[in-house]
Amino acid sequence: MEYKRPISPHLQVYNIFSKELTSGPSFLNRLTGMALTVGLLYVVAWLFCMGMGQDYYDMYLAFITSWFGYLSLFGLSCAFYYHLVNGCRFLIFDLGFWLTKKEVFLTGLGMILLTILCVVVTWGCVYFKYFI
Amino acid sequence: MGSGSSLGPKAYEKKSKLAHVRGNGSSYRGAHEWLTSRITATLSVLPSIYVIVSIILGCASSYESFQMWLGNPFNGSMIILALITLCWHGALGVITVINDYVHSNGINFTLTLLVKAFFSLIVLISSLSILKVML
Repeated sequence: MEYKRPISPHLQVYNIFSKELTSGPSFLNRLTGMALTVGLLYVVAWLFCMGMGQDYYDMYLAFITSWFGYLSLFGLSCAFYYHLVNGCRFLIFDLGFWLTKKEVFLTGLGMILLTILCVVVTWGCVYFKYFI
Repeated sequence: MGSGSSLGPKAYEKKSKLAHVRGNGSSYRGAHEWLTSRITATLSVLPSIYVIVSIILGCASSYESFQMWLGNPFNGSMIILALITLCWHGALGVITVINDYVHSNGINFTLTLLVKAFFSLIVLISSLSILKVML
């Protein structure tokens, strides 16, 4: 079986750390997407433990409220919001808007700020609800 | 007429206007995966945000509260909808990465099948767990 589909150019071609916010966010989008597939395993484990009964669910809660659980939840929430906000930006690109150099840069900046805002609001809510 | 016709392929074009309009790129079979990944991404936004907000509000902080939350069929539907769209989107993404970086056709084909089986299994396990608690 032969694959003839077009593939992406190699990473070395790009300047990933370019300040124009073009290939860097795209690369990070793919990276966070891969991280989020690992995050799906957390979701499946959560629902599977729920299906197995109270003992298993308590075990899962003990794991997810350990330092490692919180650390991975924090990382996954950053990846999720980044992938969400940048994905919306890419959807707008696909529709044919915001494609000039200036707009790409400005929406890139806005995307980063919105991601940080989402993470801060989420963990702020968690902090005020469960730790105070 | 002759060379001035706008319907036939020009000498420097490799495909006819009809093939161009049909959207068959260099892969010869359209952009189905690309479009599917965009559609599943759009469809997954609202259900997954609903589930995340519910978790932050405490629906899953104990066995009893999560059982009660899943007792509402709307909540169960939202979480299954989020899972299906996210897993579909995730499978397409992982397959794209495999196609980009694995150049051996045999390994590529095998990994693609494994990814599809894996994500199907994830959807199946989670949906059946939810149904078991709901029913």
